[in-house]
Amino acid sequence: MAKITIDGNTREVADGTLILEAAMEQGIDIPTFCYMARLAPLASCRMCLVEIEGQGKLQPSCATTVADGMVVRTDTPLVAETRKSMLELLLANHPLDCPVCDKSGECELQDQVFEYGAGEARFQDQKRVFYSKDIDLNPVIIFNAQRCIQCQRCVRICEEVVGAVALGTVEKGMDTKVTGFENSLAGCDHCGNCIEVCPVGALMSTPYRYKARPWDLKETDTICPYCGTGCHLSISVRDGQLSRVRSKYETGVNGETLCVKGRFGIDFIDGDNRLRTPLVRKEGGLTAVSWEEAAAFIAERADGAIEKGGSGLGGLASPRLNNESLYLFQKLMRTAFRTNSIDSSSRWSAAGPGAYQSLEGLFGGLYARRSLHQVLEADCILILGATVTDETPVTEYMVRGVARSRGTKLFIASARPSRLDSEAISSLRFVPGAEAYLLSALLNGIEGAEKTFANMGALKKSLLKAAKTPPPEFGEFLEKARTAFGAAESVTLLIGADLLRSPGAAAALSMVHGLGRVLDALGKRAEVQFLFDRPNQMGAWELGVLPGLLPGWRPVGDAAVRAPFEEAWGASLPADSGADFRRMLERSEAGKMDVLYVAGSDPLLSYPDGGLVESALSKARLLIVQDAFMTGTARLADVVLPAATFAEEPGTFTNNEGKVQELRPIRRPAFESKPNAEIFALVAEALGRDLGPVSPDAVFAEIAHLVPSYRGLSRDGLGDDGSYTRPFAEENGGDLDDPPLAAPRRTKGLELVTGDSMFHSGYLSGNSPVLGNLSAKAYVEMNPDAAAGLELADGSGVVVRSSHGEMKARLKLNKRFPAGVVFVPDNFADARLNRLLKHGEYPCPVEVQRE
Amino acid sequence: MFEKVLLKNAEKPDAHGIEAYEAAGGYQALAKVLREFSPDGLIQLVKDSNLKGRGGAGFPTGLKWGFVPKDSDKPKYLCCNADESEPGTFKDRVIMEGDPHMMLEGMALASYAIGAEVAYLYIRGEFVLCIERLETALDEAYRKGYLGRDILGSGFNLDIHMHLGAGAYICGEETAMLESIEGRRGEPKLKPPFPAVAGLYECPTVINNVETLACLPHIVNRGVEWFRGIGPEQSPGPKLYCLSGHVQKPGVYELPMGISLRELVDDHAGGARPGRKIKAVIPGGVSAPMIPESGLDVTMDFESLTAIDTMLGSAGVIVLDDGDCIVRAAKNINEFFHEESCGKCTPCREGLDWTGKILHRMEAGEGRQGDLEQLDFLCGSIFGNSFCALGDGAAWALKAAITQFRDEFVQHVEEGRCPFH
Amino acid sequence: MALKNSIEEAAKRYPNPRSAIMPALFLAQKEHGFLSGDLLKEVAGILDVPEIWVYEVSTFYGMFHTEPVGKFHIKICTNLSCQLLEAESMLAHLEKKLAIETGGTTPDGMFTLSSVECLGACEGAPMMQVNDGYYHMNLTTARIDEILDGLRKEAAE
Ligand SMILES: Cc1cc2nc3c(=O)[nH]c(=O)nc-3n(C[C@H](O)[C@H](O)[C@H](O)COP(=O)(O)O)c2cc1C
Ligand code: SF4
Ligand code: FES
Repeated sequence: MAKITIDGNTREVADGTLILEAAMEQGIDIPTFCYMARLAPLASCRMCLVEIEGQGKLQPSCATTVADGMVVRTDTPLVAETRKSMLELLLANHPLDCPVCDKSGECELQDQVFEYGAGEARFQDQKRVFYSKDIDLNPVIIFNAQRCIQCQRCVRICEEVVGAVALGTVEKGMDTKVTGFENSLAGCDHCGNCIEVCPVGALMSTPYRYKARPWDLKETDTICPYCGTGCHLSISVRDGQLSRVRSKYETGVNGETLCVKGRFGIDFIDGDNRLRTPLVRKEGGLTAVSWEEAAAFIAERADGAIEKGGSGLGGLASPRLNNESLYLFQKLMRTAFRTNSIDSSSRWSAAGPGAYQSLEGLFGGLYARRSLHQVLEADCILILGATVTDETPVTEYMVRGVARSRGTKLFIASARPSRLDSEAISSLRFVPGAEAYLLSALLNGIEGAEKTFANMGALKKSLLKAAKTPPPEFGEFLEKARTAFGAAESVTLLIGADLLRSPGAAAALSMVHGLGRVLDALGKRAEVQFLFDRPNQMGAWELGVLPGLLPGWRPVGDAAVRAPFEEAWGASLPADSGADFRRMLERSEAGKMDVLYVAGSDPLLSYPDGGLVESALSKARLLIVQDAFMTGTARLADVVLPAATFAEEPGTFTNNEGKVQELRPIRRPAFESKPNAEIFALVAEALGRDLGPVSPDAVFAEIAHLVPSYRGLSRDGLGDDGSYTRPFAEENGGDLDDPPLAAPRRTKGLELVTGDSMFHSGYLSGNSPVLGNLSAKAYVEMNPDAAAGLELADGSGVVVRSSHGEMKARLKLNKRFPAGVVFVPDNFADARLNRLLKHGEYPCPVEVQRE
Repeated sequence: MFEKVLLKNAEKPDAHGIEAYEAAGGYQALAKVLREFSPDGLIQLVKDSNLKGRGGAGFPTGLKWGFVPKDSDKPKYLCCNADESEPGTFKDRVIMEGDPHMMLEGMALASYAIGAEVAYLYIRGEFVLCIERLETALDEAYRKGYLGRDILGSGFNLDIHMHLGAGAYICGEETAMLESIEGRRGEPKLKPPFPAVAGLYECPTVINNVETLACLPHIVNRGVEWFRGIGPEQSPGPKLYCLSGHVQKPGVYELPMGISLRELVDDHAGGARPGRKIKAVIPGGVSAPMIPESGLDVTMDFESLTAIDTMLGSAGVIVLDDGDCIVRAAKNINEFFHEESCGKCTPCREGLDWTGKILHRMEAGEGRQGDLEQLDFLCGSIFGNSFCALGDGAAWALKAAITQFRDEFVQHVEEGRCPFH
Repeated sequence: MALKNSIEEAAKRYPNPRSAIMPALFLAQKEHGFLSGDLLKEVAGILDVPEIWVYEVSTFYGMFHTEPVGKFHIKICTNLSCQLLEAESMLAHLEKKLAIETGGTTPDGMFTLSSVECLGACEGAPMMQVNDGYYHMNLTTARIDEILDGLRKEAAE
């Protein structure tokens, strides 16, 4: 601690605190431009200069740390004079075109001149002019060099936080300007964080350009619908029209940063593919009808099926829906449709239902339901099965931050390379499926770990079975990771969506458990979080959008478990274990599916065996699709119910941290669409059931009452930053089973993996005009040497063929890509990637040939 | 009579080869140090000699070396500052062209003292002849075992790599130089941490000027007493002075520290051109405030010049006579700094642009009422507030010109023309 | 390939590839005359560093040219010591002789004329440098004519 006196007030502050921060804590304002809390200090703008007793020169408070006994003055005439002169210097070459500047009204330069500046401008000579026109650096970022004040926040956030290193500073002295390579940012992330941090109107958002004056905007705080990071968004609307998306520094896990999807991809709410009215299939075509007609249609067609019972009915809901909707969905399916065949993700077909069983134990205890910032404070972080840069970009920024600032030892084991690799101690490329093997081999070599295996139940066997001397390609990674884990006091494991895609998922999850137990036995703190690329996967699971499990992971087969739900819902519940989506499809294909209810999901686009999906869905006697968009699945439906988007209905998401955060509507649902909850109530009513009150408060209260991890939470009490759910198991108890360890697969041929790209995840992004423009087509990514061996050139058209089907796309070479793997992003409807993929198999063996 | 040491060899024709250097006793200091001195012993010797850095700031060399942490397990680096770019300065070039081994030997000594096994020689890329001579000299030194592995059987290893500057004066500033070696734009970095603690690649680093390093073999060979016997108590030793501008015999002169400026200009450099009288002298490169003729009795050492509000700097002495226009000189100097400002900080970047525009108009006879007051304001805004010493130096030098020759500035504005041209 | 090899050789002098950007740009410029966008990309590729880093460096330092320059690049110092000794009339003489303005290149691509900051040879003011050659000091108009003639002859050979 250091005792420091600022403007006469003496306080103790922690060593290493900047004078600026110490002053802020005391409520003393010091103007700054180049300073940003999460960036390394630059001290170039010289706005924050202060007097320090005993120092001849004024010192930058943004870069000077406190020392014991330091006496600082921020209120002297000299300091005021200096601020005034720095502003006058900055204004000398500033164009002062405020009336036509997007930033006017929220410009830091304007504000500071108002607060600290001189009343008059002395500079009379010709001002600097770089360009006569603003430069389009890319489709979303436009630059006015004249207005730039050289604070370099943009360049630094691009390098230090985002890690893209796309923006730079060119030329020297007066000619200095920020720009991309050859004045283009065509290859950057397009995340727009540079725009966000620009204090003036130099870097601007093209979609927002000339759209509005800030004071005409109505801003609503909500949560991003793209990935499970759960970034805070502030969405501005003018006359009901989306104007822009930003984020606030003070709120949310993301500290003002967003990725391209969050910042520019929310325009899907106004995409031209939105459903306007309910539709019903009549004489082969989908015809617009009223809500009453649609409800009557469902009632009529479902009648009889429900009486027949369980196995002819089923439902699939998207982990993009909010908690309240998901909860009501399963309640509707169980009480009105009287089935337990409920599923929430259409992407993880290979993992199989066994994976869900392992999840229960994980979420019960080991899963860290606390802030990612805290979880990242571990000595060691292992990222397993995730391409964080593409799937959960803002989480990636945070991981980069700790790796750089705290020297956290980072390890990455994934199929695809990413730029986070450069922050890692070691990165391992491996084909999905070997996660359990990898983890057991890692545990096996940690000093002293073997002694603990005896207490690991059945898992002991597979732990001991694991290779002490693993295959050579794992060697270096394992060696470094074992050493680092051995030395660490705390370890965090971050698990990506890839792990759940392969048939080895259940085994991998058991081994994750094992890892937690072993590290615990070694006296280390072990924490686990998922890096879901969907905003509410955690909510979907915990609220019972699963075949055999009621909300709170409780087995539906147990009468004692059912009892409180039956009481609360006023209905008896089916006791069978239900079918997952795979089995629902199989039944449908066999002509045995009477009603299939799909809410917010587009399995036609994403589920393996694309051919089967199409035919199975067509064979369902009544296919109900509830969605905001006319998806491929919706086109096959008998009834289409237009639903609100995340931005048009109240509710909550539970993010990867296990934090419940409030979604606030920015407007009423577009056209005739309705909030999902209301539609479920309507359908229930048509079927003669009452879902009970469906207001968000009431539903949330019901959840908090019935679901242990939500107990004690209330919607009112969530606060700006949300509230954490809690683990519900007493300890990490339960038996550990002995999962089969698949050794790393080695084939001569190519293996196809898929996943999100930077610009797309799921069909929401596909409906965003801006994202669609930035990345319009699927591509095939592979290693240049591998491509050369097949005589394929960068950018050429190729055919990817599996035993199941084929697709065409352009080739994109990436020298960091492992030789045996090809990647095709999912989510591109035209590419129909899922026609290649086969149920139960992931990754998918393929050939790539010239088109 | 003062006996030259730094230029002794350099002034002989073709003395830059290793044979000539060895014949003149070259590399004996290195051999002696490796034989007889511990690194700390060498640091102590240099501390005792009271050698002050010749790069401009006059910081005691031994003290600087002593800041390098002993317990750090990071590699340590020595960087030789051969970026010599301050207008009026050319002494380092003369050493490197004439006697490159003397400097290399100095680098080896400094590296040994601080525990560096890699040293970078940052030399401005335009110094083509120096670079050629140094490349040859490095080859020779490696060949003879004065560099490389296990130097002279002592177990001490040292590699010296040249890194060519590419035309940016600011890279002479030590932290900007480190940025430049790291492959970045040459923008000064925040201090603290100081380079001695976290410099090149975040490792402990010492930056020394060419002439500073060139003094080292002589201190080792001849001893501290000899060194301290030359010149004034606080800043002893031989010194290279660069004379240019309107003197009869421009060139580099080796003389003791603390010689009088008048003696230097009049007796050694031949004084003003025939028929001209000296008007002002810049004592230490263009960042050093000029001294009017009346002040020429000052002695050339760090302390005396600081006492009269200027500095020894790089000892680049530029002489202006009564035919020279001060406004024009001020404008020329300002243009240099304006061109060479890295652009990082507000006062230097914007301030020098503004002063430049005013000086340009004034000199062209388009000065306006209020211009001088604006220059006063601008000098005040830049000086003390810029990030590095470039901005400070530019403002300081301009302020001195305006203060000492205000009449000339007023005359330009009032007459609407330059009275000299 | 030769460029790649020499750049990789230069990179060995440093603990990380970024440090080799400046030597790499010197090598590339020597081979190609100036640093085109494609060449900058190539350098970035060889060193495996972000392209923007190479671009930043290529524009910060005065000795790197991102535009073509003449076969002979004449750089005349105009800083104070040289200016005092008539550098400006030497510059004017050069402009007249070459019939171009400072900063320009002759239509035949033979000469580019630049005024530069102090080259560290003020004792020989006024002075200039042609390409990466030795300094020409104590210039007079006659001496300049001689140098230009010599360069023209060299080009003719
Ligand atoms: C703008 C600027 C330019 C400088 N240029 C040089 C230079 O060209 N050569 C040099 O030795 N020192 C130069 N210096 C001083 C260096 O920063 C540093 O103090 C010096 O190299 C230290 O060496 P010394 O301790 O041996 O004097 C410059 C400083 C500044 C602020
Ligand atoms: S004073 Fe000038 S040279 Fe130094 S950091 Fe500021 S802009 Fe750059
Ligand atoms: S905020 Fe401190 S110098 Fe810019």
